Amino acid sequence: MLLNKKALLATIPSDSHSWNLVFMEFFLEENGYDVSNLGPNTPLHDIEKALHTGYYDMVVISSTNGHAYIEAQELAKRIRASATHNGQLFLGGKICTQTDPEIIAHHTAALKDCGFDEVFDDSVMNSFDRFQLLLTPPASMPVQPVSAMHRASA
Amino acid sequence: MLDFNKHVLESAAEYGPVVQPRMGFSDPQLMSQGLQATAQANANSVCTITLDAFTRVNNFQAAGRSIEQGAALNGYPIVNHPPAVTRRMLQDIEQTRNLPVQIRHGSPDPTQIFKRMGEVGVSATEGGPVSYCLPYSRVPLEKALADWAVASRSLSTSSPHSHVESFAGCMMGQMCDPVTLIALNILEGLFLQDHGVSTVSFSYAQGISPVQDLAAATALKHLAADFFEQGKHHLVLYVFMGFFPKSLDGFRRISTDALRVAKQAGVQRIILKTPVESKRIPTIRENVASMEFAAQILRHPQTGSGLPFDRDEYRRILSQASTLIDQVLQLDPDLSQALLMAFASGLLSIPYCLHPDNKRTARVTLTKDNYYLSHANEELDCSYSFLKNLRRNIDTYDLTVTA
Ligand code: B12
Repeated sequence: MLLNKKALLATIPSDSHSWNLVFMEFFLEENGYDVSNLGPNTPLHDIEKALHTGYYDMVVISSTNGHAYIEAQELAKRIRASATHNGQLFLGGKICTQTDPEIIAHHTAALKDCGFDEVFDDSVMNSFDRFQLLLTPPASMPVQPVSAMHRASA
Repeated sequence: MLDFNKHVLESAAEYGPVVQPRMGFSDPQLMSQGLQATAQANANSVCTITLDAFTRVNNFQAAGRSIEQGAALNGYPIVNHPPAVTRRMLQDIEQTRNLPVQIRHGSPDPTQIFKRMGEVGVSATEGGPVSYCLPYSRVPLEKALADWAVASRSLSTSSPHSHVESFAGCMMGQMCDPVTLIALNILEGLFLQDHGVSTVSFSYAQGISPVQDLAAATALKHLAADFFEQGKHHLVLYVFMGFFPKSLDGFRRISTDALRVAKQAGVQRIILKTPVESKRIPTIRENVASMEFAAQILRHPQTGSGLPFDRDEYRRILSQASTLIDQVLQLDPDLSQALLMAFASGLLSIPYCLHPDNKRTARVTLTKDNYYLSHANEELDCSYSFLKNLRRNIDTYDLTVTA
């Protein structure tokens, strides 16, 4: 398969969850991305360094520990301020410790103000399908029916 | 200060397995209410303070800022809150309820946490140099071993009852052959003992098959008895630590399976989950409900019998884990060195663990009996099949109709 686009995959410094990163790596590769997975507890500095030394079409931050609403703000600000990355910047997972849609909307707006193009909290239904639409897979690749795996429990 | 290990052994012998939540809130008042509610639950419970993720990575500045701004953290920032506040809530529980508290943290360098534990008068905690490094951080294993050696020593000098529960039975939470988890438990136990910790506990997290789990927990019990003095250790079973079922019924059924394994294997302590595990941190009431639910299931006579004992699987786990332990111990007389060499050569390896010191030589597959089994370098090909394996318990417990 021709991997003609590059994605940088990382999380926030306090988050040690990694199954989300393993999954995302598979997922982005299938959608035609060459993925650099920086692994759990990513120091901000490592993200900055990667963006300084290489070009990425997209940066994906995946976090589930509930601290993204705090730490990802600074992360986005620093990425945007350094002007080393003008491409897409996404955040997904569980962005805070609440599931109240209003609180999530509030944090989402704040995170977008700091520089994220989109924020996909997994307590918002179908955020994954919205994300997948943004990936524009190469025509040769059938789109994996990811939403089917996220079906509501019986 | 109460002796955590003694309490668990005695009360489990009298009332059956002790149940424990994974509870932690940033606000001291809420934390204190949580401890009281746990103590008063209609269950044989012990209390937990789970620390937040900033404290886990020693980012006390960020924890402090969040406290100032009233931002909710995912646990209790024990190093930032005044020692007197924490001491008071612990004393309340110990003195009025006669119950010990365990500090749960997930830190590859727990020096500051253990120091604070000494100051506030609590001596039971969990983790280990491998199990709190590989799945929890990107800190070099060599550094985690050195830091845990120092921290364990300081914990043991601050109290005659220092207790550490090895987290090795969980590691990534799922998708690992029990052989690896059990060997690591014993190796971490030996490390902790070498560095002065008085008593230890050994963990095992529920997998995909209660039959394999019963074989594995029994093998762990027997190996622990071979290596450690009676009365100085106990066993802990975790309700499934991986990608968790989403429905109430899924919670009920998966927890019931774990409780059956615990009771039939003779495990003394059980770490519980709640019905909101897949979504968010549970409230105090949800935690209490889950403890009382577990107590009720444990009291049911059927819980204590009925799972078949797979003798072949038990023998496989016991013999392979013993061999692995011996192979590691033979690498070097210094256990830290031996562990480093074992991970460097890939003798010890954790499937799917992204840590730079984990060679990723091991892969795991599910057998037709739903057992986890190691396979060298097996490929799981795409996000779909990967997620399908990861979701196995969601599919089993949420989607299958109860017979
Ligand atoms: C396994 C697990 C762990 C393991 C992690 C092992 C590892 N190395 O990965 C261990 C035990 C170490 C762990 C530790 C902790 N955990 Co944990 N953990 C889980 C658990 C059970 C499963 C996570 C998992 O493996 N998911 C599988 C992956 C594939 O799915 P996912 O992460 O949900 O991601 C999906 C979507 O979010 C989405 N997605 C993810 N990223 C992105 C990005 C984009 C752009 C898009 C579009 C989509 C997307 O795609 C994925 C596939 O569907 C969850 C609860 C659950 N969900 O069942 C709790 C959970 C995530 N943990 C939680 C917490 C709080 C912790 C701890 C603080 C301890 C504690 N108090 O319980 C520590 C944190 C340590 C730290 N420093 O960060 C909370 C988070 C709560 C919150 N956000 O408010 C949860 C929800 C449990 C709970 N109910 O309390 N944990």
